[in-house]
Amino acid sequence: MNLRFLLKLMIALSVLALCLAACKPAAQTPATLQPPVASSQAHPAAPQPTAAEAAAPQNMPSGVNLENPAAGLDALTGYRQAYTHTLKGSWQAQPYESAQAVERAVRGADSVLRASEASTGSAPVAFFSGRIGGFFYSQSAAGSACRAEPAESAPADSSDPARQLPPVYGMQPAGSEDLDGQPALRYIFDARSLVDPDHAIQTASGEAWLAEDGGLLLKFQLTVEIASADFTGTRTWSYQLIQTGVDEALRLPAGCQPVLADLPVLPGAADVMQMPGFQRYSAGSGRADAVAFYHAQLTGLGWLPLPGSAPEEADLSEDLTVLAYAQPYYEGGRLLVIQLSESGGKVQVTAQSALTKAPVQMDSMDTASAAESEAEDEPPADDSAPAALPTDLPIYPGATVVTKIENAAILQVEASVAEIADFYESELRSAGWTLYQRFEHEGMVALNWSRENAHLTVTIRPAGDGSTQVMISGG
Amino acid sequence: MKTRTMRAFTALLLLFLCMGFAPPQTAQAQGRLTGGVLIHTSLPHKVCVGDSITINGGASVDYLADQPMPIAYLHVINLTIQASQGTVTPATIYAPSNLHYFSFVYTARTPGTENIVVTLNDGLAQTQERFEVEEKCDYDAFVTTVMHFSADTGDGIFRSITHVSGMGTMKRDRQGTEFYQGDGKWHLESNTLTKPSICVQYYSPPLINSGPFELDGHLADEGDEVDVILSFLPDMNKTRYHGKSICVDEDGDTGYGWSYASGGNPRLASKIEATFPVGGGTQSVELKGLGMEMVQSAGDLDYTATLTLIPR
Repeated sequence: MNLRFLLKLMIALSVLALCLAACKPAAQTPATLQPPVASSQAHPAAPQPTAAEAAAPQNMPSGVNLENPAAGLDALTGYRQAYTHTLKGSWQAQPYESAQAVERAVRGADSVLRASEASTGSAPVAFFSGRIGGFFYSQSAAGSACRAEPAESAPADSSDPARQLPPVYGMQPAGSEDLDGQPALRYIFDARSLVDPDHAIQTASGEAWLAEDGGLLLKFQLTVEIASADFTGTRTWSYQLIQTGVDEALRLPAGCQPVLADLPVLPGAADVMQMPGFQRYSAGSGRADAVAFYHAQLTGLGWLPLPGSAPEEADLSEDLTVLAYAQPYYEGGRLLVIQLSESGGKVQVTAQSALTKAPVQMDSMDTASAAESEAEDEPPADDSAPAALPTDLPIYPGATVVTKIENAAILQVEASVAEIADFYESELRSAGWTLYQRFEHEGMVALNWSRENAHLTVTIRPAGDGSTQVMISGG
Repeated sequence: MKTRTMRAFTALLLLFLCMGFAPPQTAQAQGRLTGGVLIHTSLPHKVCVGDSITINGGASVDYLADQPMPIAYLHVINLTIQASQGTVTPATIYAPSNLHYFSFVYTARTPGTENIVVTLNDGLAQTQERFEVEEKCDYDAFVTTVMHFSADTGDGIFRSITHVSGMGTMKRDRQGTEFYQGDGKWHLESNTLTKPSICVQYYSPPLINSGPFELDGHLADEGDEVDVILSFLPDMNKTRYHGKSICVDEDGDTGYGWSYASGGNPRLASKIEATFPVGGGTQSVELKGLGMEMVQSAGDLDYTATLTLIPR
């Protein structure tokens, strides 16, 4: 090593040492870690400050630091966050406004996000997305179509709004409050507590609430007046962490049903398609086997079979067999409808679910009577047999018979709905019929009659051409 | 000369080192940034040429974890969106914000495997979405309706549950117009949930009926939505009995009744009108029609109807 090289090395090292010293903040910044602690008490013999601490405001007051507003969330089992951020002013000398709102809920691997934003120069955006039970769901607008895909094929959730909050240094205590049952310490702060190397903050006013136990950030509000090279105007943040109502918040929005991932599928299921409230696949089973399979599996999972869905009741005589099972779902109910058809030696299964506001509950039925019910003696065993109109059916005087088949007739009458209704109420009562139901709606009258085992429906409505239409069907 | 070189080297080194350790400044921000961009829309596995889909996403830019964010400074989010089989509008998105939620419209132009790439700030972060673009533009349609009905009969509350399920196909006009047409078949089963107060034992089999439905669709001018009308049609020529209701009263006397469904009035038949994004999905829909209004006027009807469209 020659002298010249040694000299260069010494100069370089000296420069490095000088530079490190010169570029450090002159003031000693507290080495705060989460949970926040009072800076005056923090690490009396502080180690070398981190780059983050080095960037803290140099003239900040002594107080509590909130260096990482998102710290501590990972330790929670479940939580909700509500976040808004606004900008109002001018950006590069052009008027600019932006309003952003985020609601997020997290429990374990499940999370949902409801986000909206309206900003100058951009199309307004509002959507729902969520990862629930291993599926990623999205809905572009409330009530619109919902789609789902396996969560592993969708990017990981990294939308924690707490990470958008600025760090605050030297907050001042301002009492304690109870936030949703959680004791919290309130702090206030101003521009001196904010990172502002460009000195662009004109005024700032903020509040933060930290959990008494653990220092978790529960609530945050900040309004800042800014005059920077690019932006002049007001910037606001508001944030709240809520640890109640998480399960409700994790529910899918109206019209977006859970994927039927919890629904058992037949052995050898192929081409399985899952969508919200929808499942379709094929399997190499017979329909009778599929009926038995679903009955065994679903009742084992607590689903209640509706009449006609148990193996001894299911209708296998038609091309399509439909099974229905119900179960409670939150405060309401969930109904599962399974369609089974056969094609090419395989059973095609289409399952769809629907939610009801109230649970579907059946009174205690006498299922033992089901077998007796099958042994029909009357009316005809053929379940599609037409129920002929009675031979003594009265026809309104002067009516034109538009159509008449064995079990139905359509008449055209030049009389009012009320006159015709009076006629049939009088005539059918005289013929021994009992009126058991009467509907009136927007000028239309429907009369339902019974006599022994026979039924008759008379529907009377204005035809639109000044005449009145009468439709009579038997049963 | 050597001395001047050494001084210049020293000055440059000082400047370089000081810049590296200085508090964040606007001009140096990009080198200390991290960021992410995410698509928040679950895309259909297949779209058709001419279809447009709106895609939502979010992008954020932040300093690396060890460096706090100066709040008077707004980062700029600059997104570029590229597609191989179609066009995107807008193709670039610019927002002065640390976090920005955005949307863009993709319109499929040629068949093939699409790979939409969204790039944040010249490669700070990137995300991709892949799906198939096809010429054929048909949909399978699946409908489910559940009606939970209750009414006070004067002799207690009567409750029933009725479900209608159906499937059909809606095909796009092959002449290149924006219209779809198709049909399908519905299947209804209705169950009484309550036992008449007079009965100590009761059994009522489901009432079963079925019939056709028609599907009419129209692709919006913008190519991003499909308006769908599903019209239930009654099966006029059938009266269906399904088993015998059995009631045993407290004296042990047994009474029988027969459920039946008869005919129908097309003017009372229900209709579903819904608007789907192209690529389909599942959504809650409303049943409209005089028949529904009649039922609703007769008692308390809690119903849900769901229509699912799947590109085929």
